[in-house]
Amino acid sequence: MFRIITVAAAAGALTLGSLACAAPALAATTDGSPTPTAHSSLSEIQQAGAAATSKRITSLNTGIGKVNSTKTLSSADKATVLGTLNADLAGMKTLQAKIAADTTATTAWTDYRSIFSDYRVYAVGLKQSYIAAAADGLTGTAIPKLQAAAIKISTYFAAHPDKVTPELQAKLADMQAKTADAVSKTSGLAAAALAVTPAAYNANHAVLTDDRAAARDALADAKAAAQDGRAIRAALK
Amino acid sequence: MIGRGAARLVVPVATLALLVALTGCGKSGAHPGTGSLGSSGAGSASTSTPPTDSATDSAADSATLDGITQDLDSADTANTEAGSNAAAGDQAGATGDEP
Repeated sequence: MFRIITVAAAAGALTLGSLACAAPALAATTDGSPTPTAHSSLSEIQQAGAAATSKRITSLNTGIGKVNSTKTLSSADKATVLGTLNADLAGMKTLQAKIAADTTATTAWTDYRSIFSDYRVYAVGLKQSYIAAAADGLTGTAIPKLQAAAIKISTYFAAHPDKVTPELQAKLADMQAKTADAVSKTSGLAAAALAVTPAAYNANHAVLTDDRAAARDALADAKAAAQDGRAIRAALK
Repeated sequence: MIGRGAARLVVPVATLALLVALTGCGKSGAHPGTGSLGSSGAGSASTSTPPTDSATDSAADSATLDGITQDLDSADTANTEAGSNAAAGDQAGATGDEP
């Protein structure tokens, strides 16, 4: 049975139209209880394999649907993400059928392990897709809009020097600096995240950690820049 | 013979041509009394007045401020979506993916 985690918090965090709706918010933290081992019976492994593949197929179908409808991802990154997720989906369906048809525990155990080590649907496929979507959302919309707003504010300041206080000037400088930081942190981020493979994850489970941190930091910068812009705008009545 | 007959016609034809030229009636679309230039008549003068500098500046300022607001609105929306996706990435990564 799956353990339900933080339902309300996760639901509140999701935004319509983003890929977030594809998040496995109700996902289990394990794939079956008890988790089979190399010494489990064929039926136990088959049962766990059916559950693990079914859960991933559901998550992948949801994710693919969101990717198809999102405007956040660039067209190139969308094609890459869909290629990965559809390949994972096909792989899960193949493994689901194969494990169900396996006649020995040894073969079933090998196939069961393949669900994880060969695909890493959650740890790589979906996670890298979300990181890329976040990065593309920043580089494609948020950052250009912040840059445009800063230019307009500068133009207004130049036309009305009497309204420019040192505090407003400092906020504009901070807005521009934070936006520049966001640009730096998102540069090449989506491509880097999407380049991670299950094999790379198998070799280093922290392979997406830096990309995830960069997305978080860039988002924090973009939010801070937007706050600066709001404060300036409020002062320019 | 031909030359004497033609000579009799020269004076009346030349007179008629002079009249046509002076009155302008020989021009296409021309009307006696109005000439060929026509007139736009009354009301052709513009009645609008140019906007003052202050009014123009005010409109430009308003447009700039509106533009700032719109840009910030768009940035906030994109930031919210990016935040949701980043959170979803965290959740996916936290999901068990080990045999």
